[in-house]
Amino acid sequence: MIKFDSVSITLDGAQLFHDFNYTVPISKTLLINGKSGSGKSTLLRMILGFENRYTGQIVFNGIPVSAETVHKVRSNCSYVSQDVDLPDGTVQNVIDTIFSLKANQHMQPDKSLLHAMIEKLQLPHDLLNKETSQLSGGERQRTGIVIAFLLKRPVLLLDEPTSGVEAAMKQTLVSTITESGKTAVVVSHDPEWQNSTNIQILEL
Amino acid sequence: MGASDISTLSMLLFSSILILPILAAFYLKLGITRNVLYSTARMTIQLTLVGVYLKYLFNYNNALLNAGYIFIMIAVAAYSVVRSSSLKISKTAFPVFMAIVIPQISVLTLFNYTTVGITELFNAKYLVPIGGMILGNCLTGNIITLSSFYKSINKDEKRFLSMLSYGADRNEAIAPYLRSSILASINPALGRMVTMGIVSLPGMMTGQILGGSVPLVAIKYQILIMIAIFTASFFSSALSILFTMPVAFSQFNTLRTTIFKTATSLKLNSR
Repeated sequence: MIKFDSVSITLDGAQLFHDFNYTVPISKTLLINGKSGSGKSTLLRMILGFENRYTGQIVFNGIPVSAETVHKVRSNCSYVSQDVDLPDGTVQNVIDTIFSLKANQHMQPDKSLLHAMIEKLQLPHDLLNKETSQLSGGERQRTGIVIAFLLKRPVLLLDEPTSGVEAAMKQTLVSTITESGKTAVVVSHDPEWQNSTNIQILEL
Repeated sequence: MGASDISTLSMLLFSSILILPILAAFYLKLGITRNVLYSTARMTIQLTLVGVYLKYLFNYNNALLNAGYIFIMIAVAAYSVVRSSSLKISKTAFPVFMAIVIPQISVLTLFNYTTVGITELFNAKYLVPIGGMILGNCLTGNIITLSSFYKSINKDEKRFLSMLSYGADRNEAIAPYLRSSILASINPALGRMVTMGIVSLPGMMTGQILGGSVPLVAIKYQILIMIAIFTASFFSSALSILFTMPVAFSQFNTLRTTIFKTATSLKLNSR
């Protein structure tokens, strides 16, 4: 589904990838491991076309990621960035805005999934009425994950999704994602991921 | 009849009140004495030159020459807009120039056509001062719009990219920034209109009254010039974003940080 085809990239003088070839396993969770600065986040950003100063090719569902195809690629991925930066307004406003985008207009937010996710990730019951600026770091991360699931896209790209939450919740998040049946690419330093049985690891 | 001339002695006499703020500034250790003198001197020289130049421009009153002068004014305006908005001149000067030229020329032409008629369209007496007024006001608006638009997208990089990842196309992703940056330039203009005549007696009206116009005629010009300024300013702000977008965004719809003047204008090259 996602394939790196002799990808090389050098940023600010540091060579992050050289002739990198890799195929992301379908419907599984892939954990990317590596020191900071080893290009973990860049890997996610390259898939999404946010970073395109690389040579080689990234192939998504058989189509190379390019200026023409990037919108399609993005519309197939749910990306949760490090310390999730959500637009201003209430969480409900943000969800409405996201679902009013042309790319998402064909669907409605699944209310029962939304409430089940809020429950499961132990978010406040009045989450939807809360201003995004009032959420704590951990709440914002989990809200980002809730939105990612609401979009029902086949691929999850998660950058440090568990860094701001407590241990028990990390475990819940890990199982929620690994058991989702989605293709997930996760960047994380948390041991809860490594200890999960349902996971493939890529060392950078 | 026109405003009565001011003798050189009177000029000097009145200008000498500058000593008061200079003394006060010195006492407050503001360290602006040199700057005050420099700025005043520069203004005096520039205005004197323009006065001389305009005298000839008005005497010749050649349509082509007048139009050429307007274009030079616009070019200088575009240059200073780009300079003050921390964008790279080589990349954005031309689109900004076009964004000023189109509304400026259309509104100016329409203004002169409706107020003084088609025969006077290129008359220096109308073209240059009215053009200057519209332009001067577009300038501030454009600087505010352009710099707030690009700076806020750059500052909000993560949020902007998140919206792209949620499926926003370029127009959807920039929409909130477009709205707030246009509002930032339009709101002060609206505020000025609201207080006009109460808090301030506008420059053009004052000038016309000093020049001998009846107040009721002066306000007619003032009303129309305010509408002209607002319209031209609104469209040149909007167009300056529209026209710079193709150079400012990559084909992947991410902001090219190379449009900013200095490399220090932070890109969170997070990995």
